[in-house]
Amino acid sequence: MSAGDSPQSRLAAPLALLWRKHYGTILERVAVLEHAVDGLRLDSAISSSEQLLVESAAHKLAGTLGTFGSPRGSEIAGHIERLFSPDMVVDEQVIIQAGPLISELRAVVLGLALAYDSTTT
Amino acid sequence: MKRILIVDDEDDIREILRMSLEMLAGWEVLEAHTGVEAISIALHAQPDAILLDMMMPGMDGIAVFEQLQGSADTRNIPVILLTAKTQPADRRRFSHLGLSAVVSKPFDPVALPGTIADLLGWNSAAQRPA
Repeated sequence: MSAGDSPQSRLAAPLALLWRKHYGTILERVAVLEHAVDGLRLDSAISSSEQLLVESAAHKLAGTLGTFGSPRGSEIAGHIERLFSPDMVVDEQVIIQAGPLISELRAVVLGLALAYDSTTT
Repeated sequence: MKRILIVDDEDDIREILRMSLEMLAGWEVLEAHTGVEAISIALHAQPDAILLDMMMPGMDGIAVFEQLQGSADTRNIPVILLTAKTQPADRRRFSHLGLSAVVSKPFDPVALPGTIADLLGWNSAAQRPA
């Protein structure tokens, strides 16, 4: 088997196609997190339904980003998921922790997009 | 050729699973995006294994597994739970259920076919299709 025939190289182009197909959804999930924290900064309260929405968006990002090649993205998203789990009280401390994590998450996603843009399909 | 049913409500994950298992292992892949659909397909298609997401709206992975266990027609199909819930408490809970294995999300699509083959004793199956 030549280097170009490795499992990694065989999946590279199809994985890039899937990334491009689902990139919009991934950005939407990041936006859900950003929107929630922006709202919390304004009035320090979150409804239980929005908290569930944020937890779900973070959970999906945690499952997806590492599979697309960013373990750090999954790690950050998993941390955010735990901050917004239903048994957590979302308070000032959560807002302080979540803000930088979500900023880093967006940077990770944009970095992945750049990496996939350079993948030949 | 092995036939594997993948069950996940997220399109991106299902598509990555299909790509990985078809391209690297040459397995036949069936898809379900809900627990109800999974049980129906399992019953009729009798896959060699089921890769089952834990967190799905409606019927979650555990409920699907319990239903599969409750039927003589599906209880012998190996089930691998796919989950991002990897805290020790979660692991303890899963270990009592009788699952064939648990695979963590996120997963490496390059390594996944070999992992599944190892877990299920299909060691010669994770090869490039002829």
